Amino acid sequence: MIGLFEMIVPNFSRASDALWTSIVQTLQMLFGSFTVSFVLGVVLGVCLVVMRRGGILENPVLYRIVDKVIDTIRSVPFLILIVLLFPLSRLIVGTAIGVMGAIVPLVIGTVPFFSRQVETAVSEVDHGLIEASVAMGLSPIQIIFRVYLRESIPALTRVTQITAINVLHLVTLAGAVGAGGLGDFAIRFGHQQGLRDLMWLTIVIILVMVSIIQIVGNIVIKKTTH
Amino acid sequence: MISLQAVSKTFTTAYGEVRAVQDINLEIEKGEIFGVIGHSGAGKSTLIRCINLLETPTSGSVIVDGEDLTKLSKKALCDRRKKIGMIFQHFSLMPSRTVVQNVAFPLKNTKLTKAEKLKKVEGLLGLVGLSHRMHAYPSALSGGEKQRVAIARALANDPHVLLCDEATSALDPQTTKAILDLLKEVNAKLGITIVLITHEMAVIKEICDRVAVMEDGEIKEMGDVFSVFSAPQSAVARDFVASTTNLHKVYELIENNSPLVALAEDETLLKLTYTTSNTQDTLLHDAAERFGIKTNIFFGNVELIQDRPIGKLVIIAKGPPESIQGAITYLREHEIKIEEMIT
Repeated sequence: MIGLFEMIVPNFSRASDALWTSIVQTLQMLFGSFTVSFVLGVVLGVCLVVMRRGGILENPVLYRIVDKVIDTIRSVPFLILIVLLFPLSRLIVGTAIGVMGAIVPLVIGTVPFFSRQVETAVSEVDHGLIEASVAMGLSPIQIIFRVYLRESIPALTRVTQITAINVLHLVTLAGAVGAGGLGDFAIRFGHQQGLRDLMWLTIVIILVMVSIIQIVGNIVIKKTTH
Repeated sequence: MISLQAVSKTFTTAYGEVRAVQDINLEIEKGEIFGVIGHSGAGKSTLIRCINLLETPTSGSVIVDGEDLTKLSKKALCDRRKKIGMIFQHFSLMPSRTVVQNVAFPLKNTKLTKAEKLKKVEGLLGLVGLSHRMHAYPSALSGGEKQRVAIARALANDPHVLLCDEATSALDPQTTKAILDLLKEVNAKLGITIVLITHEMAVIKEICDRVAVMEDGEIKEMGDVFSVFSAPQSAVARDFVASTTNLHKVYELIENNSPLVALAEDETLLKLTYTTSNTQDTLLHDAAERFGIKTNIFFGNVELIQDRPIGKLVIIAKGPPESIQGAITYLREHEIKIEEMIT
């Protein structure tokens, strides 16, 4: 088994430490930025739904502001966003490079996309359910948690899957500008040193990560769809 | 119990103002089943939504149990709404929750213990006849079963009022009948005041004590169901009443000069309406005998409204004109309304 692996990836032993570090960095960036993005995205997405015209916390002014800010940030390409946000990263996490430095642009690059997805998922909740809940005397906060979020778990899981995979791609991209991780590893070993086997190994590792996200998400969707 | 005072609701849309409900005054007594009937767009849906303030009236007061809901704070209104149950045309059950969880849904944050809640839910499911489907998800239920769950859910907080928004419009006639029977039972057993809106006269006929007929955001006619049925005053009420019988077909036949209603020289087509349970057949027979005319029943229909009959007969009377006039006078003296359809 080990013999076969060494035959397929002959250069593995030369870079195993660096590879291990890269995987850890990628996972740190993925979980770090995704956790923050998830919370912010859900909050903003729900805000968009409840503040729009006819929503349970209708607030047209705030709605327009959030709406426009999201669209504006979404239109900036991620690579530009990273370098643009160097000063902000330094201000918030003290550095613009490495894992910590990448988290701020990753979050800002992810939240607008994710909040739009959450908005779509949450607004799929049948308006009749909201009306029934208001009639039952639920407060807006109760309606958000017990109806909007609870009833859209399958749809939210679907958009979370898509977004998590997206974040993984962005994390890899961030590697190109000094964030480390698997993107950086693939460039240094696979591209610059010409070790193609390590390039392919990186791809397989990322493929496994994507599959895990998809499998876990599908299980959640299956369990919550009735 | 429920008092709407000068309630109006105007929607502002891109195409201008829509006056959905205009200056409605309405008193609904405790324990009665009150129906509102109207065509789509008549404003009945908006009206019923004004009772629990799902729609905030543009002006007017909504008084339930002696409290003006329009004057309450948001929090007080939420508490107040718990005592006003509501069911909907499309049931509005939470798809991610089982039957038990749906019925227990409004009980969250109440003082009841878990065991008390379960007992309450089981009791309600027993009342609506769904104890055997406790752990099913709504997607596995039929329309009638879904509405039963919705009724149980609406009753969870022991409301004083149950609002029914087209509650049977998505159901087939047999299921409609079963749900109406359940509502009647709920009304009788628990003493809950029921307000329902519908576009089906059959629903009003089946369970309501009083009815309001709406058109263009206004109540055109209101009264106990028997009076409205037996003597509708407004055009829209007459339309609805006519929709429950086939009598309009007779008018169509007349309009189209159908051979079915082609009359000989000495024949007259008469419409008789009677609302008392006196032996109508004998009256007709007596009239025929006394005035020497012959009668042929062309169309007959008897409705039982609140256990009282409303009969409609279309007959062809044959005989000399003065004899027929005599018979008409005789029948009118016996509280039968007569209309000459063709002479």
